[in-house]
Amino acid sequence: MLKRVFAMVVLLAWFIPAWAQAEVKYVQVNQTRLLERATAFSKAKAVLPYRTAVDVLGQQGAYYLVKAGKAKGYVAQRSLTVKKPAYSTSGSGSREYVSSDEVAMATKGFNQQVEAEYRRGNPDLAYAELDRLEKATACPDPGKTYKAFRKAGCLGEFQKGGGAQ
Amino acid sequence: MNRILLWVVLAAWAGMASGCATLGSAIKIGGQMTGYQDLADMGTSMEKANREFNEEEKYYIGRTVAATLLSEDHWLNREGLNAYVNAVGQTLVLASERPELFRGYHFAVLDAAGKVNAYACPGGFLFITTGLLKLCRNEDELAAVLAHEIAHIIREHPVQAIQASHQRSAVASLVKFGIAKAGESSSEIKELSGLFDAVVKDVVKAVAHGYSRDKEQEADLMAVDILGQAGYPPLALAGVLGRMDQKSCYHGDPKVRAAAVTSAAGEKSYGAQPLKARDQRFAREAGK
Repeated sequence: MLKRVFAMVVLLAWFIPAWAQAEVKYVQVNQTRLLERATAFSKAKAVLPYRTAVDVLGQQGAYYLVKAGKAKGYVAQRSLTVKKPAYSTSGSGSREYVSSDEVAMATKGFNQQVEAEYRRGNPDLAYAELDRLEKATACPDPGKTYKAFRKAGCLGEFQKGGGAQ
Repeated sequence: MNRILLWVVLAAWAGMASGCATLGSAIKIGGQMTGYQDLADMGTSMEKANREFNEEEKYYIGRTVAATLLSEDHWLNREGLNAYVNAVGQTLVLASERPELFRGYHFAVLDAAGKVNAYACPGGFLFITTGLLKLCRNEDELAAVLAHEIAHIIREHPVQAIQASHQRSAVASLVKFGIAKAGESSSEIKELSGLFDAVVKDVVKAVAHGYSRDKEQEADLMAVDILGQAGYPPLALAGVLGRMDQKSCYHGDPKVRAAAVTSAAGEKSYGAQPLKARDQRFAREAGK
């Protein structure tokens, strides 16, 4: 009897803390899509900006099931990080309160300022061309933008036999 | 007896829960308890010294690597071709394990008919030369080339090419400047710019001249999977590799790589087949 009680309590002691504390992760890309299903071909329910905190509720393939505010959905695992990312000096992320310490830390990385300094010393590099290219090829929601392209080519969610769902 | 046992288990439970703190936090807590602020700072600096470049830093490294490549071979800025290459690339990205980067993926064609090459810069800038585009017979083969480059990004091969000494110097300086929470100093920015130069040069060298055979093979095998998941026939990669000569393929005999790809594609049952509609739009957009 004693042994059984002991085993039960040990099991509870092991599992309850993990269950009670949903792991918090942060968005480490400029923006991530909160998806209806665990595939990037799925429809987005919302867009979460850089540094948004989410509660990780589960895992499916390369995606986490997360809760962000009141909404639940899937986010690519590689778009999240355990440690809250530094405040971005290039204007990425939500407009939340940012301490002066955080701003100070953010200015100490390889960032826009360092690029600007490097650019001054290397005027022959094709930054202007890159800026044009980056602007012309930016695609905030490729799932939606290229849906007709995938359909016409039997790709992604439209491939015969199902494929990646 | 039972009560004693219960107390012992509860104490163990509490111990386990509190033991989840990270090493850095533990040192900080120690510092606060004993009043040794230095110890807390040491914990912070240890935590930072072990850090890798974050996603924003990789993006800025990648931008400068891309600007360096573009200063040698210019972007072939043709609207229809841009849209088409990005549609193929983004379809592959969505099927990959890393569908998002700090500022997304960008695909472009470089006007370099004499070069048979493709490049993957950190931060998601992917280029294919007109020479390699010409070697591709259809959309499936173009997708195969892009999938291989996407795989390099996913596996972080460009960033891994940074020499350990440059990485150490860069991180040490970032830590040093990070701890000194003083205002921005132009001398600090200048020093970081110097380190940035060393880091960028390491990456440019790797991106332009290829990786080790192991890394190329790793990218080939991941490309097979990305193609299959996206709905493209993975054997298309073997097709394009089979037509490359040794000179244009920096690491590994392309024929040997093609054989390995064929074998890997055969092991998994991807249902994707060539499709006339894809061939037609490739002919229309890529000028064939």
